Amino acid sequence: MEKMKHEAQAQFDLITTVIHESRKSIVDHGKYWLTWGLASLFAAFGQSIMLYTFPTRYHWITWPIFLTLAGIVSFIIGIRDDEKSRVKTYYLRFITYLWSSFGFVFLLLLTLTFTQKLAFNQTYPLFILFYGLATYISGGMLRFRPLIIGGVITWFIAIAAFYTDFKVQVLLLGLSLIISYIIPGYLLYKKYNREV
Amino acid sequence: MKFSKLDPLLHSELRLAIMSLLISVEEANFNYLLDQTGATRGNVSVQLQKLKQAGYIEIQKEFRNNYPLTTARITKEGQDAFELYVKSLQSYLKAGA
Repeated sequence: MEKMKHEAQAQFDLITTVIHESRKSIVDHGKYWLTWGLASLFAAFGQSIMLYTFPTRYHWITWPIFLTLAGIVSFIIGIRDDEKSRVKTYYLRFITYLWSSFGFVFLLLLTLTFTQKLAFNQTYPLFILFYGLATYISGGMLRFRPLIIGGVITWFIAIAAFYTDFKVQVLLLGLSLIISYIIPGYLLYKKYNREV
Repeated sequence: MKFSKLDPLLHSELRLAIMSLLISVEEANFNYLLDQTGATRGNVSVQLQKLKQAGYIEIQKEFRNNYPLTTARITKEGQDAFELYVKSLQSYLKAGA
C-alpha cells in the first residue's frame, strides 16, 4: 500500500512538473504588448504635441503612421515566431480573436468619426474603454495581475475622459497606454526572461 | 476502501509526460515533445504510436518547407482516460492521508 502511495505521488508530481514547464515555454513574452503599446503611445503623444503646438486638422495623422509601423513589426515578429512555433494553444487562439475584434471596433469607431457620425471627443473615451476591456480579459487569461489592474485603472481613466476636452483626452489616452500596455508589457517581458 | 485500477498505458513515465503536455495545448509537434520530455527520438516515436493505437491521440504528418512535420493532439478518449487516471491517483493519495 505504501509503495502504491509513493508511486501515485511520483506520477502526480510528474504531471504537475510537465504542465508547469510547458506553460513557461509557451507563455506570451510581452513582445506584442510592447510593440503596440509603444506605437500607440508615440501616436497619442505625437498627436498631443500637434494639438498643443501647431494645431492642424490632420492631428490624427500620427495614428495611421505609427500603427502601420507596429503592424509591420508585429508581422515580422509573427513570421519568426511561427517558424519557431512548435505548439498551438487555446490561449493563443483566444487572444488572437480578442485583439482582432478590438482592432475591428477601433476601425469602425474611426470610420464613424471620419464620416462625422461621432465627434473625436466622443470616440477617444470609447477607445480607452475598449483598451481597458481587452487588457483586463487578457490579464485574466494569462493570470497576470499587472494586466488586470491596468485594465481596471484604464476604465476609470475612460470615465474621466468623458468629462474632459479633446486635448486632455489625448493625454489621458497616452496615460492609459502606459498603465495598461507599457508597464505590464515590460513586466511580462522581464518575467519571461527571468523564468527561462 | 476501494481503489481504482491505474491505466497501464498511462502508467509509463514517458507516455504520461506526453499526455500531460498534450492535455494543456491544442496541438504540439514532435520536436516540442522531444525537447520537453528530454527523451530520445526513437523512444518518443514508439510511445506516440502506442498512444495513437489506443485512440488517446491523433497524429498528423505533413511537409513544411520540404521537411517532414509530425503533429500530435489529444482526442476526447485521451482526455477521458487522463482524467480517470488522475482520479485514480488521487484515490491512492487520499487513502494514505
